[in-house]
Amino acid sequence: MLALKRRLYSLILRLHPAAFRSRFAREMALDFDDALAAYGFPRLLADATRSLIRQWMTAPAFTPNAAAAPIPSHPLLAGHYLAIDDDNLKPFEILRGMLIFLVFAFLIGRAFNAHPGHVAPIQPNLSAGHDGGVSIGHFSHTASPANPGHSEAQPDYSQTLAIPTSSLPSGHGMSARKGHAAYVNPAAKVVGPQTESWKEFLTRCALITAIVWLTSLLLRRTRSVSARMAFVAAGLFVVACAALMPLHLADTSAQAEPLHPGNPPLHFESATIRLRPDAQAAHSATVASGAGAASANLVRIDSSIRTLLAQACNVPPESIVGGPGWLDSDSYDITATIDPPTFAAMQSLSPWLQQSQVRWMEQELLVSRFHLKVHVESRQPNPAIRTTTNAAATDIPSAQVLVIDHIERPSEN
Amino acid sequence: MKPGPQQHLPLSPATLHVLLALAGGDLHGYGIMLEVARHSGGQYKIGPGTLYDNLKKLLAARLVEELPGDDDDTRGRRTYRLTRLGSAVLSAETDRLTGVLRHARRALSPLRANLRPRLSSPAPGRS
Repeated sequence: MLALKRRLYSLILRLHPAAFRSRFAREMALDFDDALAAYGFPRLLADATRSLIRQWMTAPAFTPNAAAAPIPSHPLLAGHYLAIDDDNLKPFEILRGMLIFLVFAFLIGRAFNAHPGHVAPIQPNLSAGHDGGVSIGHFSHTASPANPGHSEAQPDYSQTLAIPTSSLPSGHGMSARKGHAAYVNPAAKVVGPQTESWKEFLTRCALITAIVWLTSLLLRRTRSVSARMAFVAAGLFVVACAALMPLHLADTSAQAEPLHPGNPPLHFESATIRLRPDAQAAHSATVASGAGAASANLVRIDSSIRTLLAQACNVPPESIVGGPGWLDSDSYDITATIDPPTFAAMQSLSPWLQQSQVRWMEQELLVSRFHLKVHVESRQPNPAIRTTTNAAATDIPSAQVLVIDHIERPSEN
Repeated sequence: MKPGPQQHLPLSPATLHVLLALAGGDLHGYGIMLEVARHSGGQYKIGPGTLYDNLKKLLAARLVEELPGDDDDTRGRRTYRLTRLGSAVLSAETDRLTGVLRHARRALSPLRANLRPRLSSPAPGRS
């Protein structure tokens, strides 16, 4: 026990500033051994802790000119161990304060935006492809691990659909991080808005605290009244900005949130696919509460399959090459329903996130019903297709394209 | 200009007690702690942290000096001595405190005179 006490006391001594430690720590340790019985350990520990604070407050690093300055008028004034340096602020100190503030703000931002423990390939059903993309695979009938006993068509995600994240233009709803594409986790986002507002509140408080701390530091180190007034005004302005500015943490965290590996794959509850006999129709997909049945939440898609694939993969149509001619010539009328729990969870998401969920379901539909297989190649987009599409959309990265290997007409039901 | 004793006044209680302890002779750190406890009747004890914080200031202000190392002391304790300036500061502080005491006694004497009869008179209703 004595050794433990001595070790703890030595630890506090080691935390003292080097100048003080090198001169007095050995004697303090000897005095500790001698005075332990008479003074008691708590009293000596409190004394050492007070000394630690006092020495750091008066250390030369914090009062740079203390050694060179003449003896002040009352250096030994009772109890006044806290030395306040009245010197003007130096550029180095300003830079140091700004650096500390920036590091602090950066760490806060990283803490709220990065989820290193959750960054993973998009669900168990998606894995990183050989080119850093994301793969989904064949459809097979297996029982969902999340819903044992609920046997239905579940994707067997081997290497069939690869969407390179590097080829995905930014702002298309898919965010790339560490070589993986990340869709938003629908289950996690059910409680998303509350968590995000709480994060925003904490971030805002931390920012304001940092600003107030920095301002008070500047005030303490400044003697000029006009400079102090300027610092106060600047501090109030920045605090007001920090209190009023929108942080948009919700959006950033939503983009960074991948699907949790434990979530079941997203898919439509049911889908009816009919070939339209009339001419080609422009792509349209709408999500609405079913008018007929209260629990039926319908997704109506009216487009060619190439357009649907582009929509589902969130890439421009000209980056999809290959496939039979009916991909462009035929137009399909697809009516799909989202199961009520998923639809209810989607209601708490932003419109952008809802679209992401629907895109994922569309991908799953193409794989399961059209037996779609694609791979990624690095080549120029198909010029023939490019001429048929909007020219404004051709500013995509053309290095990698999605090549359709196999697709079948679905059986209409 | 050479710093005078008045420049260091007033002293903190800890500093005063350390200087008083060293006024009796050269002492090492723990000796100062014991001497402070002794001459205050055990009412005032300073720990090592407070002691060496004060010693650091006193050394910087040249009120106390460190004696050269003693080879006989195997534990390596340092011994401290009051300098002439330290003695002058202690003397000046003692004079200052004497003046304060004199003034305090003068101010308290009428209060004590009024207080004494009240304290000596029996409480009403008691025999």
